[in-house]
Amino acid sequence: MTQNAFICPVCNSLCDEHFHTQICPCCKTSFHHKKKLSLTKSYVFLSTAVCCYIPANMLPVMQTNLFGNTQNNTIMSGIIDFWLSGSYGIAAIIFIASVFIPCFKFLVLFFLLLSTKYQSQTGKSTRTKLYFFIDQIGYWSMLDVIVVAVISASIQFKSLSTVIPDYGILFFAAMVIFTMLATICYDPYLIWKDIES
Amino acid sequence: MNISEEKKQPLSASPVIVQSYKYRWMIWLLPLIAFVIGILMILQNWISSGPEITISFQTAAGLEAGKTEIKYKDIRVGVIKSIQLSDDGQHIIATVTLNQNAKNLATQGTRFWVVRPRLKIGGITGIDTLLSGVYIAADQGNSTQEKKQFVGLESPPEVIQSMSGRTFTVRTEDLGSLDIGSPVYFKRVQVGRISSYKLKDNGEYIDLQVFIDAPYDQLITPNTRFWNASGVDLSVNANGFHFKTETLAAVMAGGISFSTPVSKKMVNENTLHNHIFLLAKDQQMALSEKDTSSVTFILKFEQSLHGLSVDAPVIFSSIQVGRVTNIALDYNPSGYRFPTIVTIEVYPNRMGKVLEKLPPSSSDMQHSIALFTQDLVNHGLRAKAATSNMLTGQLYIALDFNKQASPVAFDTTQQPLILPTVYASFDQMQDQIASIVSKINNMPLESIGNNLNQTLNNANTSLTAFNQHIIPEIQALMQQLTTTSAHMNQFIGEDAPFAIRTEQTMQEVQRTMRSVRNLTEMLENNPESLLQGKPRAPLYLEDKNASSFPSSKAP
Repeated sequence: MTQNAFICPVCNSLCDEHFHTQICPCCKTSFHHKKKLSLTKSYVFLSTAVCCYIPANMLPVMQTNLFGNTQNNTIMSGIIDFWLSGSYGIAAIIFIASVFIPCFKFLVLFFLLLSTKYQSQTGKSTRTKLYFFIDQIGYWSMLDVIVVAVISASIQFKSLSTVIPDYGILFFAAMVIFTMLATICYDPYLIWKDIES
Repeated sequence: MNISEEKKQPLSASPVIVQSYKYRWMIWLLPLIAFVIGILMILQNWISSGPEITISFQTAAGLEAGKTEIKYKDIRVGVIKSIQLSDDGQHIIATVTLNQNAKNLATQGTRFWVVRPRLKIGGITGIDTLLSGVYIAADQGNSTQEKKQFVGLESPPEVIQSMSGRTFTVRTEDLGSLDIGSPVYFKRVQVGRISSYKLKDNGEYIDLQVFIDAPYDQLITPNTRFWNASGVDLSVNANGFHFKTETLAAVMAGGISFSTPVSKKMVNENTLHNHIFLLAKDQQMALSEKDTSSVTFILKFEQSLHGLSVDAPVIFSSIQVGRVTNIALDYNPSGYRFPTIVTIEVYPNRMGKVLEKLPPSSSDMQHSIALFTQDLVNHGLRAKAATSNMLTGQLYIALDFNKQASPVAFDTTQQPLILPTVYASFDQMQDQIASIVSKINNMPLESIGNNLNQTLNNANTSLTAFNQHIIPEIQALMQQLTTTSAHMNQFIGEDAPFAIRTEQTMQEVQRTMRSVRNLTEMLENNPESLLQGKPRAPLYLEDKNASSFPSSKAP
C-alpha cells in the first residue's frame, strides 16, 4: 500500500490514487481525496449561516391567531412564554435545539477553522472528536422548523385559531442547512495535515 | 518530493483548477446575499413598527403587555409593549408600539379606550372581547400635530371620527336624566346621541354636544327647537294632569327630541355650527312661538295667593299671553298688611297685531305701551288670580275687563307698569264659604247637645218602665194562649169523640148522596118510571143485539 492509497468515504473500499480526480472502483463515486477548497467553503457557509441566524432570531417565526387575538412569536419570545407558563421542559428543549446547538456549532466550527489556519498542534484528537460531534448534532436544530411546520399544519380552525409560519422560520431553516454545509465542507484531515509535511 | 511533484503537475497542467481559483471570490457572494436579505427583512420589520406612544388608564384590568392589541376600525395597528404604574401611583401607563401604517394615530386628538363587554340601556357591546380578551380601540383625531402621551378614555366615546354627521350645541339649565349617549329623537326615530356635556365655569348652564347622524343633520336649521324627552313627564298645570312619555328607551335612559318648523330659508353652515340651540322643558314650550319682546307688569294682591307658582300662565281672554316670573311679599306699614307682589311678563306678539295697531303717537315704544295700557285700565282692565283647577288648586293670572271696577289712578311713568287687581270670583266664593263656616261656628251647639242628651235620658227611663211593667203582662198572656191551644187540641184532636162523630155523620151523608144520584140517574134514563114504576129489563141491551152490522167483529 502506497501513501497514495485512501479509503473511499462512501463504500470504505481501499483505492489507489493515480490521478487528481478519482472514481472509486467499487461504488463508482467520483471524489477528491481531499475536500476541495475546504476551508474557503467552510468559511463561506459559516458566515452565511451566521447572517441567516440574526434575522431568524429577530423576525417572528410564527403568527398565532387565537380567538381574534393575533400574536407574533419570535423564537426567544416563545421560549420565554413557555418558561413563564411553567413548561420548563419544553422551554429547555426549544432553547437547546434552536439557540444552544446553533451557537455551539458556530463557535466550534470557528474554533476549528482558526486552529487549522494557525496550524495548532495541541488537542488534535479532541478537535477531531469535536468535529464529528457537531456533525452528528447538526440536524437536531431542524426540530424548531419541524415544530412550526407541524403546528401550522394542524392548527387551522378558521376564525377560532390559526397558526401561520412567518419569515423567521425560513431564515432559521436556511441557517441550519448552511451550518450543516459548513460542517460537511470542513475537512478534518486538515487538523492532521501538518504531520505529513 | 514524490508527493510534491505529483501535486504540482496536475495543478499546473489543469486549466480547470486555475479557473476555479480565478472565480473563487464569487463564493463569498453567498454570505453577502444572505446578509443583505437578512438585513433587509429586519429593516422592513423595524420600519413597519411605527412610533411608540404611552396611554394612561385608571386600571390595567384585562391589559397584557405584549398581547393586548390596539385596533383602529377593527384592524390591528399596534400592541402594548409594557405596562407600568405611573410615578404618582394614580394610574397605569401602557407603552404601545404602533405599526408604521398607523403612525397617524400618534397625533393630537386621537382617543384611546379599552373595549370590554359593556351592558347599556341601548344594548350590549364588546361581546367578542369575552373570547379574544380586551383590546384598546383608537379613534383618530383630525389634527396632524404629533403627540406621544395620551390619556385613555374610561368609557367608549359615543361619537367617533369616522361617523358622518354633525355636532350641534344645545344649551340647557338642567341636565335632568340626560347623560352621554342619551338618544336624540326626531319623530321618535333615533337620529343621534349626546356626545358630551360641559357645565359652564360659572355654573349657569350646561352645553350639550349633540351629534346628529347624516343625513338627519340636514334637518337641523336655526329654527330647530330641541326639547327634553326624558323619562316620564308627569306635570300638573292649569289644565290638569299631563302624562307624557317618549319611547321606552327614552323613559329609561332619557333623551332629547327636536323638531324643525318648515321654512324655506337657506341655511348658512357657519352660523349653524356656532348656533346655540336652547333645550326646552317639553314639547309644548319648545314649539310655542318664540317671544321676541316682553312687557313686564307688577300686580299687587292683598289676598293670599296659595297655588300661584312661577311660570303660571297669564291669560287674556282665554289666550296665554305671558307668564308669572316672580312672586314676592311686600310690607305695607298701614295696617300691617303683607301684599303679594306678582311680576308678570306679557308677550304682546301673542295678542295678535296689537302692537301694529297702536296709535303711532310717539317714537318711544315704552311710553306708547304705557298709554295704551292706561287706556285699557280706564276701560276696566283688571288682573285677578283665578283658580283654574279646583282639584289641584292651581292659580293663574287672568287679565279681564271688569265693567263694575271702580276707577283707579294709573301711573304711566312708572317702570314696570303696575296693573290694578281685583278679587277673583273664587275668592268671593271662598269668603262665602268662610262666612257659612263662621255661622256654623256661632250656632248654640252646646245647648243643642245638652237638650239632646236630656231627651235621650227620658227615653231611657220610659224604656225601663216598659220593661218592668208591660213585659210580665205579655208573658202571662202568652201562657194563657198556650193553655187555650191545648184545650183546642183536645177538642179537635184525632181521637176526640167530636171528630169521630163528625166523620160518621159525613159517611152517612156520603151514602145518602150516592142513593140520590142513583135515583136521579134512573129517573133520567126512564122518566116514565115516575108513572109506570121500575122497568123490568134494560132496553138498550136488546137494541144493541137487534142491530147487526156486516163489519162487526165476528170471529
